[in-house]
Amino acid sequence: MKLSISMISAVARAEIVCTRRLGRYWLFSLLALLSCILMFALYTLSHDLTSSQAATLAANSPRYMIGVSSYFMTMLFLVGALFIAFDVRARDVRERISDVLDTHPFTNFEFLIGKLIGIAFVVWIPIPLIIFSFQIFGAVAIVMELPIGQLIEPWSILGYLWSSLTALFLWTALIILLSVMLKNRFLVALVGGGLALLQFWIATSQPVYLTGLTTILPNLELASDILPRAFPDHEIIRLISHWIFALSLIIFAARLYPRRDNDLISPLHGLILFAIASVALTYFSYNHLQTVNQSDKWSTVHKAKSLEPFGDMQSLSGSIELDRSEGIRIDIALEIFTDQELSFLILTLNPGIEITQLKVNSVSPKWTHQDGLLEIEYQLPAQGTALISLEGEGKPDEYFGYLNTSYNFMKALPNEVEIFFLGYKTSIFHREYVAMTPGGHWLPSTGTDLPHDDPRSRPNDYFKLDLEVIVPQDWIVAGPGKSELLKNEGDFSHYRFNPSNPIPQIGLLASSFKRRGFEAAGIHFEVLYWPEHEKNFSLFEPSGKKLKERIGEIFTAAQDSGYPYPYEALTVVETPNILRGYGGGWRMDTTQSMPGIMMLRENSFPAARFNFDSDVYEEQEGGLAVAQVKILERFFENDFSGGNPFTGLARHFSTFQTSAIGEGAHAINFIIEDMTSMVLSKKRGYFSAHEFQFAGPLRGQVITSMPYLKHLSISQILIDTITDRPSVWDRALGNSLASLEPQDDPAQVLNVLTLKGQAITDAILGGLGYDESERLISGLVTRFRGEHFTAEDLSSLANELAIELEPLLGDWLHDTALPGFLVSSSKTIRLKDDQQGKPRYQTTMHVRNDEPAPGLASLAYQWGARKGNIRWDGTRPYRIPGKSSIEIGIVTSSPIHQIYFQPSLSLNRENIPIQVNRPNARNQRDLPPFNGSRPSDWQPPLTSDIVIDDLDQGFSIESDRLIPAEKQYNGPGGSGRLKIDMDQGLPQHHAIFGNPEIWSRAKDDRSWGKYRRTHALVKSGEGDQYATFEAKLPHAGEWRLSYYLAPRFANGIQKKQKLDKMAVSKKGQESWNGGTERARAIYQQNLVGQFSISLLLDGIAQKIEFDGNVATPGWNDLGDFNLPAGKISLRISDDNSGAIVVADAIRWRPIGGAQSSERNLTQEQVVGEKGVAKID
Amino acid sequence: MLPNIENKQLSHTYKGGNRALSDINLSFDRGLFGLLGPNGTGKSTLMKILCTLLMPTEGQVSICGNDVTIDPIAVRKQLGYLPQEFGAWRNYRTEEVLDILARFSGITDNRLRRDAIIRVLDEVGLGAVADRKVKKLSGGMLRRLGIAQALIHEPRVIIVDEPTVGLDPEERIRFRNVLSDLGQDRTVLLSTHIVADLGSACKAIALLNAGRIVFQGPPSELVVAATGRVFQSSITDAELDEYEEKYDLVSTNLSGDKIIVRGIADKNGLPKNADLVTEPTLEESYLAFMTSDVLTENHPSEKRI
Repeated sequence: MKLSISMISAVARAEIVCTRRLGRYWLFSLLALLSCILMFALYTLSHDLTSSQAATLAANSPRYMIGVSSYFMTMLFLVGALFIAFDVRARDVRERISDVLDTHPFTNFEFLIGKLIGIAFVVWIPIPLIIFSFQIFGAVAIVMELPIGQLIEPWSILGYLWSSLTALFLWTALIILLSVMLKNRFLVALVGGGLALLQFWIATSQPVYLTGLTTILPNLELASDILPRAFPDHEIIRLISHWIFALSLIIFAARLYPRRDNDLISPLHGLILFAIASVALTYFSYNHLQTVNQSDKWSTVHKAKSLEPFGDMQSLSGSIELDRSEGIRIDIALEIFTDQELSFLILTLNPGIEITQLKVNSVSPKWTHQDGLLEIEYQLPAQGTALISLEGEGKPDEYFGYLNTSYNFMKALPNEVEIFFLGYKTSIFHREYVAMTPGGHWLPSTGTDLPHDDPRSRPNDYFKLDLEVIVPQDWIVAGPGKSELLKNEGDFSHYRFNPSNPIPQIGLLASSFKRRGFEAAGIHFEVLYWPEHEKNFSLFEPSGKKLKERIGEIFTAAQDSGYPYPYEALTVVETPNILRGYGGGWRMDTTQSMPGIMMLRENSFPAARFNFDSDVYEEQEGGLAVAQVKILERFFENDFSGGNPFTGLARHFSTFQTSAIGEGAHAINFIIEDMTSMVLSKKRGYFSAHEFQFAGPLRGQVITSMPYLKHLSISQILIDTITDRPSVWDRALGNSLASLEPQDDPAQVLNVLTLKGQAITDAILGGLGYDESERLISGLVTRFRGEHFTAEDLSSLANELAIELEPLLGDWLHDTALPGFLVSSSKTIRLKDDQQGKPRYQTTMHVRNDEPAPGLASLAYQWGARKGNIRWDGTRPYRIPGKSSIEIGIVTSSPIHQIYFQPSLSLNRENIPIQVNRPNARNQRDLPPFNGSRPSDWQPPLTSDIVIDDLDQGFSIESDRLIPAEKQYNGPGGSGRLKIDMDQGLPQHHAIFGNPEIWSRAKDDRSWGKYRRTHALVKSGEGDQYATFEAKLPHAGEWRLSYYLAPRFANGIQKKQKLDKMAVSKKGQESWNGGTERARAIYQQNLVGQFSISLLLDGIAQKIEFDGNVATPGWNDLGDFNLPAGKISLRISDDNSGAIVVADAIRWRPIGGAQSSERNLTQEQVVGEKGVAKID
Repeated sequence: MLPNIENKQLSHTYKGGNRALSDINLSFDRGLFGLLGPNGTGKSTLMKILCTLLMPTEGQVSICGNDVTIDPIAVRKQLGYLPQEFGAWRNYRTEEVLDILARFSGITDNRLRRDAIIRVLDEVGLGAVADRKVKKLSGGMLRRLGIAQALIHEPRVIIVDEPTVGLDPEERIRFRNVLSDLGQDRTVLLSTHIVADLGSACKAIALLNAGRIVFQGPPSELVVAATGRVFQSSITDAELDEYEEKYDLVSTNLSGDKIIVRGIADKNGLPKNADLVTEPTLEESYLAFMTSDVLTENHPSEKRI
């Protein structure tokens, strides 16, 4: 008997009709529809509204996001299928039609497969409908030029539709089997729900690669216009296996179905199909795991040889032919020099390239090429040179490279999934696009691929290049510098790359690009982009001339400063989303900048939505053209995905030309690059693939900070958010730049490097000025081009150029200690008007560095006529030696409104707001104006008080509770894991998580602190956690004990009364509003009640009453005590009648008796005499 | 040529050991046939076996020459079945139900299926309610819909299980007529415990008792077998209790101050003053047969109908 397709079709149609009559089907469809529309709307809105602000935000384009959102959507529909299929038989029994159905002439298999098709189809059909409606909306938006809405990449739709149908098919088959086996529909729902939860758990908590192996959820990738495809590698096999699994499950269900049929399809058939599906899935899993684990295997092989000496490549010449259907053929010659004797020549070459001929100095030696490691048996004496002639062909392995990556993205967790946005294929060889990145080693490089990215031991290897590149005739190729078309022959074009300066790496990108370009300051600047992405390039056409001028300015300025752009051309090339944009090593740095090339990811500029319809741009100075250039600069400056062209360009001028080597080389390179970026464009960037593990929370923190930091760029906010973490500071305090060991928490090392490095850059730029800084860069590049330099070389060069680095920075590479600053309040007076009759205001303030280490600091101040242009200005950085004070003076033509003291790198960690006074404008003083700094003998007065702060050694915590390593964050910007930082021994408090369960540390400008203002806090609890302030009294006598409370925790009763007043209208009616609710929530969260405090002396505890409700801001007296000399402790329990317990600082003040000569700061003195912060 | 329904040595024992059918030998060809018996005597078990819903534990059952255990699909192609509790999908329209079940019966051609639906709706008198939802049909209409679905693919065998339970007299008569008409060119097996459901068109009946066939033959034979055992008496109200205690009464009717009773004679013969009914009804004959000693002493030889 053969299967009756018409019968299956009849059953399927009946099931579709039947399901459509179910109320729960429509409920589910409606919910699914709303969820998907909401999700799509959020993606679309956030992208269309924010993508023009930042390249990184543009990457969240709904056009490419189906692969990312597919888990959620599919899970939703699986749950829907469960609640439609779970009573597949019970429903017929309930309708009293089952006996009639059972006497109809279909087999159980036909019946169940028909049901399966019907249910899976009817549940699935809203998906294409939803997507179709999105596409309609997108098409309408394009035609009508609406500000929001765009089309989703069609191949990704196809992939998702097929994947989701497959998942539903298999899932429904499983539910049908369960319903036949278990009979009770509630039991089926329970088991099915459990399986759905299991899948959800795997998809949300286990490494992403396991989702493809252990769940039926889609396994899709980022969509791409350049390389459109429906499925990732081997995915089709997985999907086929799922279909076969589904068939086998239905056969088992048919066998168990309580109705006799011919049994022509037996369980054996099911078992055979199950076995076939298992084999297919095993094949898929094997390949998948091979891809995931391959780099470990390669890495092991390379690691075994990583300590072997290797030569220095001097030059590379020859040709490479790129046949889009066959692969590449290379015929090259490498000149390798060694300063030590080599018994083997070791090179790295992509394992996909098969070597057909190899000679060294015209001799054919023995060689092996396995796992990307080329070992040539050849003795090369010290100071010898080897000319290696190598011919080979093949398709490069697209995943090879970056073998010592500190974080294997292949094993990323779902929370870290955003790292996939940075791409995952090291190189690409495709019929339509070829991306030969240096990291893919499609041409040989010397040594193993390990270690990598650590210039201390393995700096860049600079070499000369003369390479002929043969590509299909309709293709354009971008490479190192200018491409010279040699000839067109047959179907191929021959280009030559022969840059005048050495290069450290070669990248080739080729495809049938469209091109736009111009000559700017003698440099050929070109953009190669995918023809379909014409829109944004056309949109920015009005800015063409201005853009050319701006780029020309940069090139000209560099040239005038003595470090011209080193290659004849700079090509910006669009790259597909899947091309990996970051490297390996500890830093996992961006790889989107290569000599002569800067990559432009298709999901950055081409995907962004810009709108220049408004006339507002025409009204601005310079019109639309200038506005567009500014928008472009802002857009690219805010690229945190490695595509920042300003830092990329800086690399061309700096580390592509020369590299530090030896001690501190990684820090020196960082600073040189940062400094070059600043002098070239006054812009800097930040990129770390590490941060993409925590992208959601990070984005949330940046978004939260943006309203409060309007004067900072997004880029600067991001940098501050990342580097201003307690753990970064703690590491910075414990390590000099030279002693930073990248292998030990590489992400943190980068952050410390950023924190310290950028502070040093700022100090150099501020202290020396931009011209002197450029002179230093120019001298460095000119002297060491194509070579390496040490820290001593840099120091000598600076001395030679009469650039005074040492007085400005001290031993910046080795210093660990940081300065600590105390500042007075500012004083502004009116001076006599100048000769032109303009008013002059003199503002002065004192700064003391109370630590032995010297430091740098500057002021940022806001001034201007109140009704006119109020603007921010700043002083240059002042160097303040250890244990000394200076006075800073500023002269302005109107009073200063705000001042921030900006320590460069200090124990203060934060900028400090300075209290300003309102000058008497009528009282003009006849004093000489003072602009700058001068020595001062100012210092805070002596005191006999003993103050123990929460950051002092006398402060300790007792708690048995475990400190969580991370917390789940769900909020603005997305969701993900948020690492809980340790702040000088206590977990950092994040307000977004509410009052902490364990003692934590929070920053608060109005807390007590000498340099940093922090307090410890804990949620009111059971009295099992304590904070203790231990002091050593120098003498016996009467002491007054005081407890410090920051304003936010004080005046509880007044706050309550104020809240009650806010909540009640004049008529006595409750008038709630958002402001009242928020104020009440803050009040309740910060409510300190009756403290549980004990004074411990010689093992005897004395309870002390302290009601936080009536406490005042600042010091609160707890009582006078007659005490002997020696140790005494004050212990605060977390048992408190309020919501929170705060431990900030305590003070012992002697009342009469012997006085101490020791000095300690007190808050009153600071407020009274320096005005650092007004507490009351 | 084999009869449309044929059972040989059919027995069925449920998993718990309850023997529902024993040694059943039956064969039915074209016509309306009745399967009679009190509740719990195995009628439904037999019907389920004939409809392939249940597989016999012993013996052989074939429908139109196809063994139900070997090729149930072939059996189902020849079979229309109306179960005792026919429901159908409540939110579907009458013609939709028929359309779906016609598809399930293998009628794939749209035109043929549409014609078949119109035909069977006319046959069962539901043409006017083709658009009506199932949940709005009366009990009788629902049963007729059940017959319509059983007929839609023109099966050679129609099996109807207790079709008139819960129907009003008018619907019962109409239903009986429908079945009578159907029996003219196919086998219609009607299982019932209501003797009146088997009208004069019934070609033969089989009596089932305690899982065994105790009679099979034309209704007339049952009537003949009952002749001499059915009486009619005119009694007083005071005598009624005694009659009811001693005899199985079939009917009681008032006639002036007397009560006319009809009943089955006991072992001792007719009551005093009773008249022998020379032409007992089928119901009286069935009752007479079921209360006879034959059932307890020995079974009559089964004979082919």
